[in-house]
Amino acid sequence: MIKQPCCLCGKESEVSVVVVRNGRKSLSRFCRECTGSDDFPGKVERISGRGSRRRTPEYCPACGYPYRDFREYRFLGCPECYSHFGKEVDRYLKRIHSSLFYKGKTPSRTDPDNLKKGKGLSLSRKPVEK
Amino acid sequence: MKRAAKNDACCWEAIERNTSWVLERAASATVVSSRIRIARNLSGFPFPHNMTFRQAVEAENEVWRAFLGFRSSGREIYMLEMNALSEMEKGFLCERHMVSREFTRSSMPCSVAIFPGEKISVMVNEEDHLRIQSFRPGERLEEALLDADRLDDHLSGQLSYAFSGRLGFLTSCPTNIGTGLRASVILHVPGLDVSGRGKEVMKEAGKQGVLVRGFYGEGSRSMGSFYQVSTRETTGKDEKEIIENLQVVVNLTVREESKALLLLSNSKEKMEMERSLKRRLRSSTLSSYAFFSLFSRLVLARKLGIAGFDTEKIGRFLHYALPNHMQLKAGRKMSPEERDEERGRMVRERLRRCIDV
Repeated sequence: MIKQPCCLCGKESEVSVVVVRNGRKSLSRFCRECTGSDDFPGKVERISGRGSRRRTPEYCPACGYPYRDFREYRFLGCPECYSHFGKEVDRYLKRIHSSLFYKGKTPSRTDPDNLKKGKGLSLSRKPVEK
Repeated sequence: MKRAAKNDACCWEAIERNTSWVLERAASATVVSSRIRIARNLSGFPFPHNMTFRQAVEAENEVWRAFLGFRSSGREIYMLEMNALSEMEKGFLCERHMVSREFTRSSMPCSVAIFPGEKISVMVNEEDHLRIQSFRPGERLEEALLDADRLDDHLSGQLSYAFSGRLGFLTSCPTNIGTGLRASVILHVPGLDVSGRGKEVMKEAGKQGVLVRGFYGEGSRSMGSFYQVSTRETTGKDEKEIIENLQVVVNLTVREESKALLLLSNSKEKMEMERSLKRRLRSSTLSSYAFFSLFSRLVLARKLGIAGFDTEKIGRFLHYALPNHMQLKAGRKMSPEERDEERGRMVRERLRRCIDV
């Protein structure tokens, strides 16, 4: 199963840090090495603030796949990358497909959350027609 | 279900006997075969190129367990672990279109399941966790889709697929997202090639939203007058609509080939074609490309009434002209020069006898 990678270096994480900002919790995971670095509190601050600015993470938090590899090779690391690298993947998909409106079959067994329209994905609800 | 080991001769014989679907109609039809490919991934696992060795084994085991309950119309399902096979055996499966060339080069745990009853092969841990391929001789895309669908439905009941309500099936490469479906046909158009219109017609087909590729798909060369034409779009349409677009292009190409044959049958080049064919049938050495070219000219000669032969018998020669088929039959590795000589001998001593020119 997928191991959670460190948000800073992508290695396997061992420490979880919860930051509460304006009543909103954000959970980030780190490896032992990164937690020992001098400017660790500053890095946590920057990472926990990312959500509000919606910046693309450098690594997929689910599988550790680097965003730069997506840009270079146009492959994704895991199914979760589609939501974590949301906007950038969205832009690329719009470029390579003439329509993103899904009309095909539905698997008989799947995570019901994934079936909710747009769940975890940044694509707009309207079918994209070129 | 049978799990084939490296030196399981019985198993290999059965696989060899039951997987000649792709080229079965090579000597008789313009649409030689149809193929449906479906890409699927498991949720909770990274995509194959990003997996650790252990994750690859876990994913492979999960898929194998899911195969167990499938009711195949054939008696057996063959499961082959790719890393347990020799280079020749891997090459053989590739030449039969059971696996892709990239798949034979993988160093990670990966395997192929062959369902002879359904004419299906499933690559596990290729670019995606599952690549279901369903074959049919001739132009029978809908039938191939039905069989692939039946296996896919069974697997989706056993496995948790990576799926999003908005995007469809999630794939390692975003070009396959949505239905994950690619339909393709192998076309044999010697009439168009000889009349010099092959490239023009294929270019026209490309404008209709299909991809024209070599004999072994992406990145491969065309052999003889064989072309692989496949769908490009994987989303925005449902599975049947995707296939319909390809069928339109196929029908147009078949019509163009018939027109080309009609023109050639009235031309004065027939005598020259007959002379060139007789010369080629006496070649001392032949590369596999040269053999495919000869094969295409033979089929054209039959269609124009220059030569006569049993199409089924001649069709069988095509597989055994391929490098890995040849080596596996000889039971040893052969140099390219040795293979070219052997091919020449096969043509002079066996193929020529089956032809009435």
